[in-house]
Amino acid sequence: MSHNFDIQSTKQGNVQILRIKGFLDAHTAHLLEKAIEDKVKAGESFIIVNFKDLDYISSAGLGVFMVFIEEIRSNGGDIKLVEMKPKVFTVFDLLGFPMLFDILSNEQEALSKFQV
Amino acid sequence: MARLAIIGILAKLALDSVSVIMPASLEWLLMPFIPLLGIGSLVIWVAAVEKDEEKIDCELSEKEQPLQLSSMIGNIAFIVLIVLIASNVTVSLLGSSSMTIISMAIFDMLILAFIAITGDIFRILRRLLILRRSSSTKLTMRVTLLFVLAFLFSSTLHFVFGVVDAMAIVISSGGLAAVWFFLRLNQNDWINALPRKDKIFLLRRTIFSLFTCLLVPGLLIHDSVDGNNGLESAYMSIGFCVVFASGIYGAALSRLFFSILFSLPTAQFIDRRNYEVESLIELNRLALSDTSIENIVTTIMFRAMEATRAEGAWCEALAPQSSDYIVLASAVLTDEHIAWFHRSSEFESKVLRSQEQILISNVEDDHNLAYLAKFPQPLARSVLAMPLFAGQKRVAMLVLVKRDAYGFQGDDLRILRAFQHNVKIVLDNAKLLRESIENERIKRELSLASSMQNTMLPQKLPEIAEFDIDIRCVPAAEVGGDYYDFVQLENGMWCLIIGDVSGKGIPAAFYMAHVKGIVLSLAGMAKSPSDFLLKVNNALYGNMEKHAYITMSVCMFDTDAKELVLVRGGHCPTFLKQNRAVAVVTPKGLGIGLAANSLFVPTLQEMHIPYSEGDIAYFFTDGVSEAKNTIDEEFGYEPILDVLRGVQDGETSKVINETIMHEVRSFVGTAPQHDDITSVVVRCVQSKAQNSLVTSSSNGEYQTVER
Repeated sequence: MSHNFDIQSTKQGNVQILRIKGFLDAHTAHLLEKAIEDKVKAGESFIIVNFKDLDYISSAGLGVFMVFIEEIRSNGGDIKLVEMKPKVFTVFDLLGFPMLFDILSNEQEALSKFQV
Repeated sequence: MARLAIIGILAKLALDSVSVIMPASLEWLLMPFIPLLGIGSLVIWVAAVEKDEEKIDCELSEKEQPLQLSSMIGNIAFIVLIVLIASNVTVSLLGSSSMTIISMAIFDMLILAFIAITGDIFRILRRLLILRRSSSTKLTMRVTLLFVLAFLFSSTLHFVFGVVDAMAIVISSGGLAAVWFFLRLNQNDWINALPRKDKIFLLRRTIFSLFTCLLVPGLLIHDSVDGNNGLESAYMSIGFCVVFASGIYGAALSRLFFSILFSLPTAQFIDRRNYEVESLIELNRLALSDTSIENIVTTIMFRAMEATRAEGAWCEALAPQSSDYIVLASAVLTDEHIAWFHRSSEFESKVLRSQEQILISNVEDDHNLAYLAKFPQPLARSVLAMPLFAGQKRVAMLVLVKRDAYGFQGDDLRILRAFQHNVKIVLDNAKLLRESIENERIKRELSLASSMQNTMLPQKLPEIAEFDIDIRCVPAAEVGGDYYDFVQLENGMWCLIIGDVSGKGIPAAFYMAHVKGIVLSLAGMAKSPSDFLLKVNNALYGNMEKHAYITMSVCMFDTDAKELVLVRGGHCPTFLKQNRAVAVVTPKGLGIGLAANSLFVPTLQEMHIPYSEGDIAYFFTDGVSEAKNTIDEEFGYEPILDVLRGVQDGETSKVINETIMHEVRSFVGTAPQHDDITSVVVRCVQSKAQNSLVTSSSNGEYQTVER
């Protein structure tokens, strides 16, 4: 499978926003893992992942979010997931992710939650 | 056979001469044999030559090589000369008039010696001729034989019957045979392929042979001038035979002589070509027998040294993850020498890290490099460096050095360049060979893992009263993450477990084995499906890689309470058909291994679903719902729900599952299967059911295991 996957990262205040695009599966999961790892290593604790342009996520893609959540939360931060397409949300929902992560409708909402 | 014929011909000549010295009264005894022997021998010879021609092949033994054959002529001609001189001395010592028994015996021996020797030379010439035969070889051979025939008969006429006029035919046929042979023996191209030193050797031998061949008839003609008695006359017959033979050899040899002479100037190029061919053969042999870069590089280094007559060489590779170097092979130069070369960073970057061939004719021309010549002993004034490539990757640098400035010629560069191409092929071959061996090994291990994994799935379905169950499992790659099983809980109730490990391949298969162990050890202690799932989560959480998790649904068949007890740990929903209505059932529950029990337990929902006859429950893994067709569309839930809606009363699980699988297959078409597919149909029947388990290989061929 040669589906594209792309990550764009921007920073707003002390919040790191990662906008992911394309297909997140076993072949591309390591790219996102690396991106988040870099942020965590750089001391970032407040991360928003924007799913607006993500078309597909597989079980391996879901696993990525589990890798760092513990460490980030122990640093007082969080990963918030926003703007999921319904199909992508279903995958998260089946696995029970809404019970583990804040899944919100847009970046603004996530940012304001971080401000609190 | 050919030898027999030649002996026959020469025996005829011998009889000619014997008949001359025999008393006239006995001559009639021999008369009928002489022409018969001659003709018979020739016929045998022609047959032998043609038979030999069929037989000869490309691979010649050492003795049959043209070089050996040619030089043998020289040796034999020399023996002829010695024998002739010896016979001359004998004849003059004994005196022409004294026909003693001793002189007759010596004479007989001489005749035999001539027969053997001439026969051998004939054999060699024939061999040489056939060796490089062309379509006209047979013609050449026959015409030569015709001349020989004419020569034999005319000589018999002249010497035995005393016909004086026949002498003209003797001489002319002999001469014509020689000229003919000279013109026809043009297949001398084997000489071109000889190395220079062999050519010079052959030239010397040819000059010697030629000289001997000319000397022999000269000696005979000189002898024949004096004396005219019986012995001398007989001697003449033999003598003419030798003159004739010498003429032919002379023709062959002079042809040979000119061929060698003309091919000498190009000998050097031929040598070089030979060297290249040899190198290529050796390198190819190496590529097939050896896959280690070190061994190949060592051979290459010595070959390159030979080709350029370099005085020292080494071959180095860059050490992985550092700017250091590793010496793979060296000749003459020690590690200390090589370290000396690395002293200059300029030399290192310009020459040793170069992607191209580099020739430094005189290091003293460049003040940055002059230090190279200043090692305790002069080390290298000229340097030739050649990178070695495997694929696109530069694997090593070969450096050749000479003590003298301008030691390497442009020609050396050229030959190395041709060489480099061969080397690249060899290294590429070796690399491919290594990779294919490694691939083969991985393939074997994967197929082993796959067959091991198959044994982890139940080989037989348990008998569960009131239920008709059908399971199909189609693995995607060699090994996958789908898992299903039947276990009995503490209360003795049967449970269906269906699960999927995140990810694919070996890691997924590894976790699946792990899960199987945990499931088997915990099931007997679990009081309920939810108790079982939280025990499994407890065992797995924190014991897997952080990004790995497992989804799992557990369905207990509670035949006492007549209900299905369903829990779902992040797994795909379950489809239920009850009273003709189809529902998607998704009890709440987190994936296994994602969270500690403190979060897992409160969010786990256990559903109790009363069942009655005809109810259908459908369990699956995402390999079914996410099956993709050629344009990347997903199969989804709807087609399955449609199948369930259309199920008629009395349709067995097997039939229903087959319908669903058929839908999946026709949807996917020719698209590759990306994920394991597990599909389970559970149908409630009042009577005892016929459960069946279907496993399959990924090629889609199903085997049904009936119980």
